[in-house]
Amino acid sequence: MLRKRSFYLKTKILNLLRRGDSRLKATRKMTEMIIDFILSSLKGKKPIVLTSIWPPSEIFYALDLIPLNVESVAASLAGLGLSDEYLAVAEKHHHSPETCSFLRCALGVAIERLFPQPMAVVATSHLCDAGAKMTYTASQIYRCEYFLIDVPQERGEDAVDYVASQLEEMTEKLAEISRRKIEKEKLSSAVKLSNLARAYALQANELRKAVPSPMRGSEALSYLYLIGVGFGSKKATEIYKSMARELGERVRKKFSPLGRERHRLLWLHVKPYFQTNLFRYLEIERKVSIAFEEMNHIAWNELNPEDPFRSIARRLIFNLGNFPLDSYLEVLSNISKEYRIDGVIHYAHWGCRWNYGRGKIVKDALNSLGIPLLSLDCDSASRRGYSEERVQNQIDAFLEMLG
Amino acid sequence: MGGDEFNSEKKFIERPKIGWFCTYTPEELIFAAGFHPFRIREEISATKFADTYIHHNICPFVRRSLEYGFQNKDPKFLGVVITNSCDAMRCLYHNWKKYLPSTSFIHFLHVPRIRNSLAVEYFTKEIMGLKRALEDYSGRRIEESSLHSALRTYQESRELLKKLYDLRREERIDLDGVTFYRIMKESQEMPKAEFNPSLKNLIEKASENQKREIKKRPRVMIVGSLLRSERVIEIIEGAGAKVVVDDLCFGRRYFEFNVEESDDLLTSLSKGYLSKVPCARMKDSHLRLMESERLVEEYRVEGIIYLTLKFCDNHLYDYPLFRDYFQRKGIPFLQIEDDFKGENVGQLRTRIEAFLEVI
Repeated sequence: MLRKRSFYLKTKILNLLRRGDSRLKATRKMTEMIIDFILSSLKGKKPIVLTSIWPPSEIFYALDLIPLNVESVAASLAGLGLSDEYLAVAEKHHHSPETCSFLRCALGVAIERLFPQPMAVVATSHLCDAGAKMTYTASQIYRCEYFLIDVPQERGEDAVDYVASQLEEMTEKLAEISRRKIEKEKLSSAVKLSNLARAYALQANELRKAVPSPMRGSEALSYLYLIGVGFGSKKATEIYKSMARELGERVRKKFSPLGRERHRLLWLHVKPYFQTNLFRYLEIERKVSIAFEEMNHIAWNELNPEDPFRSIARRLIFNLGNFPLDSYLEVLSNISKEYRIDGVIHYAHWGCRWNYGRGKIVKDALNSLGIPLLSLDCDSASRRGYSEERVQNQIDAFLEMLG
Repeated sequence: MGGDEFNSEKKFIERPKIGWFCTYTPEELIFAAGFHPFRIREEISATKFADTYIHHNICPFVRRSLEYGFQNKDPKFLGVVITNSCDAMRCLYHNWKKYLPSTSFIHFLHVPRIRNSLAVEYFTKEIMGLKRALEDYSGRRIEESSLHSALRTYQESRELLKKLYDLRREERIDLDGVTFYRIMKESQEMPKAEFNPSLKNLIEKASENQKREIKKRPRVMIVGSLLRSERVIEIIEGAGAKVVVDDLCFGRRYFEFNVEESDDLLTSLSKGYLSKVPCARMKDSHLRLMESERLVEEYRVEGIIYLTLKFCDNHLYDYPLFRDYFQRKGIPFLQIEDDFKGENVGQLRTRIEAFLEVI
């Protein structure tokens, strides 16, 4: 228990110490939200659901459950320099070091039974195999119900029907396990909050088109938890509202935390969550702005509160990682124009097969638009094998090419 | 036995060909559309073209499959049906579509990861989509009668392969592992019109044999997905063991299910294919484990070899589950990770010999 609490206290202290930097208040609120979620789950006041990234979060909030996303926990551990310890736990239990380190780290946490006992584990299939497999393994460790929402890689009404039916079945079962009632008003309310969060996020994304950029990309990349698991919660909606308001003020005052921008980049995939000089070097020393990142792109339309399951199904299906490749490339092309992008950095997280698998196609497509791409083959949750010098050299060569 | 009658390279294949990769592909539909469905399983060692496009930490089978696409010169080869079996297969689809545009037919089939009525309903729609695509491509409607006939032909093939496994379990057929898995390979490549009668003939001859006591050898089961070639079997049996059964998608999972004829053939296909014992990409790994346990008992297995492809997340995540379970039951368990490069033969042999000493 002491070990668990010390991790969360350490995070809170770090978050406090970083007051006075140029982060948005919204970002600090988000960190507090994550910590509070985790501490609430430790106190056992509300049942928790372990989730993969991009679950149907509106349903959890409607049922008053706490979603604890395994990748976000691993990212937090990486930030505190603790991830290698849990990677070693997983590997000691014969889990291959070739798999994604986020999920392997989270698996180590599960093996040590450091997650609070979940009521259930919920995963979606659409982003990666490892997410579904890791969460299944976690459900076996914690001996609880496992739900896999099978999300097809196509966007027609058949797929929406299929996913919606699964969501409805899962919701009934979750309600039964948690001894809660499915209240239509609560579900509708969660969907409305999701829509509101979406609207504020869109506003924030629109404001980020300003030159110079009103927000550091390295900070925006930390919104993984919110974009992945936050939609449908009141707190996430407030955070996005705060974000939109603060960015609006910055744009009006023409304030940019970076000052002058030599280049504007689009960031693909995730970032390294362990402590690294990468962003200090890129953003501060080299004055390169990460103007936008695909992770924060809102790809789905407004949900219909009167048709929650089909709407949430659409939100899951219309995830950028689930797009047909042609559509995905079209989105990247549009983002590049709207944010006045000079180049792209693809942080190719080791072990992320679906992402690696399309790397060349994305590079070729962007090159054909005159947009150079730098692929950094690195890990996101483990420092093992990460070389500051190598990465810096690659960035230098890339920036030289940009001129 | 297992000579030219089971050698697709020596057979003339009249129909144009459509390749497939995953045993969840409903071959019957491809056959009913007038094409020859065959499993692409190339023993290409170098992937000079594919490596340009696909990162080296993607499944070696997928890289070799893409290489096949680049190197293939067969004028009868028209296209592929690729399932979303896993992240790597999704990658294969994207890269094949983008960099092999001369392939005139490329279809992506979503196979559910769950097995319930919702999945059957959705998979039926996916199969209907494949049917429409084949019809549009060929310019011909797939008649009900053709589909009925195809179902019967492929079901016959499955029954025969089950019978072959039974004969091998009862040791009433003298087939070494290499020959046996070569027959399995041909079951997925030869036209059924030739394969079925040849296998039937082989089975009929063997059925006359009595059950016999074979020299005692360690009885091994192989669990995993793909068998790069029969080489692995050769090494195992060369070391003195007998591969008595498998849970491989190049082995039992190809045929260990039934598709029942009905008035709604597409739903029959959907139900039949989804009724298979789940592979590692499916939701319920414990069902896979239970099936392996059943096979251990039925085939009196004394040791298990868990064969994974390098970078195969689905099998890698299941490995500790299997290992821990069977070790608690006192059954020796060995993991072999295959990178498809073929350079590790000596090391493999040493490991297997050491493993067999434990049995």
